[in-house]
Amino acid sequence: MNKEINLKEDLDKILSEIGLSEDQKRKTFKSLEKAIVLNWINSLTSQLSEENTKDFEEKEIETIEEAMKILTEYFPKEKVVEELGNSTEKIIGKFVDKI
Amino acid sequence: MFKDGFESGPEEENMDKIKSPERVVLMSEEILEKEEAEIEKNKKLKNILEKVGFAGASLGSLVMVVSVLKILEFPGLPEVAGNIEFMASGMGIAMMGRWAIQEGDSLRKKIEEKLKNLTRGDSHKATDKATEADLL
Repeated sequence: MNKEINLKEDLDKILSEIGLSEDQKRKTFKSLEKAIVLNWINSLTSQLSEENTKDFEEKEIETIEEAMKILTEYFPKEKVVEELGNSTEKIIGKFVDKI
Repeated sequence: MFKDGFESGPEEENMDKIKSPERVVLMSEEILEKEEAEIEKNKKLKNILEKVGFAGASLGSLVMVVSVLKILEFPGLPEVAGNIEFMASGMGIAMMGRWAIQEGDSLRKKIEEKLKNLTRGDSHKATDKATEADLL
């Protein structure tokens, strides 16, 4: 069974059990997704070396997508992915603890 | 009888802890606000984002989620990248969660525990209804 689909389905089940409407569920997912991405970007930026920070700040960046692409290039792919996993676990974990 | 009443205490406590739908939506918004505030505190990132015309709050746009997934070359993304509504239906979480689940089982356990509590709450409610019906 596909594990990534389970997480969404399980969260969906929890929200349905509490009685959220489809619109309320959509709002909740949207906020959580944004929070995960913000946490991930924040965590990666905090781990940039001084040299890379300087390099990052001096680059001619025009779009946010470009900025994120450059940011991820300062780290090995495994690290980037691991950090996204950590952020997901942190945000969703916090949410499940609160409800 | 007394024993049964005593044992139902913690269960009722669990029921009390379960929030209303409105409160749950608010909680997710509160979590997002906290992350936005954290970004504001990150001067390094703030400078760069301001350079490209983004502030903390606008950084959290849903398009961003799609961009992140695109950058990381998530499997299955070409079909969903253009579909913002689909992403908002929790697919972003599903995809991002892929690694969290692989990293460790603590999140899964938390979710399973919550589901168990909620289902227990439901059967509890069902029993209450049956008892009410019996009384009538």
